[in-house]
Amino acid sequence: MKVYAGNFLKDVVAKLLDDGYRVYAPVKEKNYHVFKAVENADEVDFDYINTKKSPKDVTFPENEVLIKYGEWVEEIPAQADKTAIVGIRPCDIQGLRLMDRVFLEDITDPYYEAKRKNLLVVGYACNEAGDYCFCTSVGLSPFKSNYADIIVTDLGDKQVVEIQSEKGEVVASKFNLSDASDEDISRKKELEQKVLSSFVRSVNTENLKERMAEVFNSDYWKEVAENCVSCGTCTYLCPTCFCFDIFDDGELKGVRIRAWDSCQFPLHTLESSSHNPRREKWQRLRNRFYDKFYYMLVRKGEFYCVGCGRCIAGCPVGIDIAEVINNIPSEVKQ
Amino acid sequence: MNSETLEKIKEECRKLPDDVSYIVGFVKKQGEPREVLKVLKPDEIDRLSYSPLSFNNPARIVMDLMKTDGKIAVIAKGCDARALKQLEKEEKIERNRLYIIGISCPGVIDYRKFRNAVKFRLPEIESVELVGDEVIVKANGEEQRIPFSEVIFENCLYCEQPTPKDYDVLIGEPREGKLDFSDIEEFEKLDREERWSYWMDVFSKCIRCHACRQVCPLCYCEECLVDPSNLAVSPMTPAEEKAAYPRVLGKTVSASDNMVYHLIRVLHHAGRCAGCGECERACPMELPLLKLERKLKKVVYEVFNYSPDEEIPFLSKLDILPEG
Amino acid sequence: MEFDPKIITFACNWCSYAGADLAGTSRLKYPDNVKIIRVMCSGMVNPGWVLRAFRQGADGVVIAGCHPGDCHYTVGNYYAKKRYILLKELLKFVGFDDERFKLLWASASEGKLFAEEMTAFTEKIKEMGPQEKLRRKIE
Repeated sequence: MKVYAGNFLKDVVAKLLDDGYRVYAPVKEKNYHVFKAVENADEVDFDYINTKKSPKDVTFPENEVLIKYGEWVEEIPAQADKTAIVGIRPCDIQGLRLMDRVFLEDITDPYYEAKRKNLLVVGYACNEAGDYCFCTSVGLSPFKSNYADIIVTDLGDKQVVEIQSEKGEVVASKFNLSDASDEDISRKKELEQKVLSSFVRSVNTENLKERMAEVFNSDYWKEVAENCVSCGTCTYLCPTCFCFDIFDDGELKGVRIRAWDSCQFPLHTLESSSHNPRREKWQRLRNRFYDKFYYMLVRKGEFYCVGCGRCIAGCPVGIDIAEVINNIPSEVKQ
Repeated sequence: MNSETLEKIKEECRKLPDDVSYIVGFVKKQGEPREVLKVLKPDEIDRLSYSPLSFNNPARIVMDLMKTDGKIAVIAKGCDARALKQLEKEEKIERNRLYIIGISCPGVIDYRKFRNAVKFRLPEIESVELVGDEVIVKANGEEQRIPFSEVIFENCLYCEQPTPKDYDVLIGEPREGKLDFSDIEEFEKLDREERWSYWMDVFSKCIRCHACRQVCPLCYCEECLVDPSNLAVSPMTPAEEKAAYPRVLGKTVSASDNMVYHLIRVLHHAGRCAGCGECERACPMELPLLKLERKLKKVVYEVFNYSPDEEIPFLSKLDILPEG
Repeated sequence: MEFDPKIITFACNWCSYAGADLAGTSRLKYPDNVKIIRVMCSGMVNPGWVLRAFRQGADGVVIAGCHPGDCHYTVGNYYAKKRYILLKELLKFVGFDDERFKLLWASASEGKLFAEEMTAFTEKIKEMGPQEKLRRKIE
C-alpha cells in the first residue's frame, strides 16, 4: 500500500495523456458526471458519488462500425489505442469484469477484446454511499476490487494508492509514492467504516435463486410492470447489460453497425415468423430481473447486478430493482 | 396543504359510483419521498397518497385499462386532464367510462432539483408538504424549508391550465393559468449558428433509450418510424420485403441523427402535446426536450390560431391554414 | 470543382409531376440536380422523409403539389402545407438552414413555372453550399 501526497487521480490523468493514452475520466456536465475522453486534466472533476451513465461504452460503444459496404465490402479491423479509464468506482469495475465474462469467455468478441486488452483501469474507492447504492448487498465492496490495475482511496490531503497489476506498477513507478504509514492505514480503515455505515438501501439476496425459481409464473410480475413504459433507460444505464443488435445503415452504400439493444423493447425478441416470446411488457420487465438475479447466476455463477442503483435513479416511473427483489412473494399467488 | 388535498381525494374516492372498478392514483414509493402511479381497487383507498412529488401522468395507464371492463376513476392534475382529453378526442379512451377527480395543481416539484436541494438522505424523509410558497421537508424530527420556486418543475411555470377543464369533481380552488412563451422567444433571439450549436450539444448527450417516446401518453403507436424493423411481419413475409420496409432512421447515435429522431418525435405532437413534461422528466440525460414541444405549441397558437381546447383535433382541422 | 447540389423534389402525381413532364415536353431546361420522386399526393409526404433526405445527403428538398383547392384528393395539399409549416418552423428553431426546404404549388399546365422555380432554387442552393448539418456522420 502506497501513499501519494496530492491528487493522484488528477496527476495520473495528466501523465497518461502525456504518454499518449486515450483517457476516459469523469467530467461534470450541468448537473451530473459522465465518463468522457478528456484532452487535459483540468476538465476532470472527481467530486461525485457515481456517474450518470455507466462507463461500459469505453469497451462496448453504443455504435460500433463492423463493415463498410458500397462497390465492395471493407471489414473494419478490431483495433484499439492505448486507453485508460480513471476514477471508475468499484461497482463499475465489477461491471467491467462481468462484461469480460460475457464477451471473452467461451466465444471471444474481437472488437471487445481489442479494446479491453488495451485498457488500463484506475479505480476510485467510494467516500460515501449514494441514496440508491446497494453494492454491499450483492457481495461487493465499495472500496476494493481486485480487478483494477490501481485503486485509489482519497483521504483528503493525500491519496492511498494500491497497485494490483504489472500494468499498474508501470504507471505507478512514474510517481513519487511513499509507503503507507500505520496512521494512513488506520485512517483508511476509519473511512471504510464510515462508508459502510452510510448505506441506506439493501437487497435481500438470501436464497434468491430458489425464491426466484418459485415465483416465475406469479402475478407479482404483472403488478410490478403496471407502471413500466418499456423504455430502455434501465438497460442503457446498466453497467452489465450487454445486448446488442446489428443492422445496416444505408442502401447501396453504407455501414454495418453494432448498436446497443434493450430487452425492454418489444422488437428485441420479435422473431421473423412474427412470433414474439416476450410480447407483453411484464414479460420483458420480468426478464430483466431474472437476467440480473437468476439466469446469469445459473450460467456464470454470479449476480449480474452490481448495485450501482442507476436504474433506480433513472427510471421515469419509479420502478426500483431493490424493492422488486425484496418484495418477491414467498408463496405463489395463483 | 397536501395532507388536506389527500384527505379530500380519499373522501371523494369513498363516494365514487358503485360501478367504478379501478382507481388510478398515487401511492408512496418505498424508501423514497416520491409517489408512484398505481392501479388500486376501490377497497384500497387507504393506500392513496398525494404530494407535490406526485408528478407522473396517469393517462397512459388509463389508456391501458380501457381494455378491461368497468369504470375507471383517475386523479388528474391540469396537464393530466389535457392528456386525457386529447386521448378522448383520438378515441383512445371513452369519457363515459372515466370518472375524473380533478386537482387544481400549484405545480409539481422537479425531483432532480429536489434531490440536490434536500439535506436529508432520501429514505429518511417522512413527508414533503407544500405550504404557501415553501416546501417543508420533514425527517428525523428535523425540518427543512425550501422555497418552492427553487425546486418547481420549470414547465409548471408556463402552465396554461393548472385546473382541469373537464372533471367530475374538483379538489381545490380553480387557478388561473396563462399563455407564456417568453422562454421560447428568448431562445429565438439567438442567431442561427448559436441555436445549432446549442442543440448539437444537447443531442450529443442523447443515448437514444427512447424513454421520451415511451413515457409520452400521446406516443402510443405500436410501431415507430425510427424502430429498426417493422412489427407488421407475418410468417409469410419474405425476407426481401422485410428488408425493403421503409426505415427513416437506424440506431445510430451521432448528434445529428439524434436530432432527426427528436424532430420526428416532436412533430407528431403538434397540436396534441399536453405539456405534462413527462419526456423531460424521463430523460436520463436531463435534456431540455420540452423546448421543442413548446416551440411547436407556439406555432400552433400563433400561426394556426388553434387552441387545444377545441373539440376537433388539430390534425384534422384544415380551415386554420394561413393564407398563401 | 463546382459544387453540384443534390435536390430532391417530391412531386405529386396529378399536378406537379405532370407539370415537370410538361416542362420536359416543351423542351424547357432546368438543372439536372433536381431529382424527382413521384408521390400520389403532396399530402402523403411524411416529414420524416424530408429529414431522411437531408440525412442521406440532399442539399435541398422541395415538396411540390397542386394549388390550394385543386387537389385530386380534395384536401391533400392542405395537409402538406400544415406539415410544411410545422417542420420549417422547427428546422428554423434548431438552427438548420431552413431555406433548403421549400414548398411549391405547380399545376399540370405550369411547366414553365416549374422549370423556373427549380432553376432559381438550384441557384440558391449552389450559393449556400453543401448541406452538412443533418448529413449522416457515420460513413
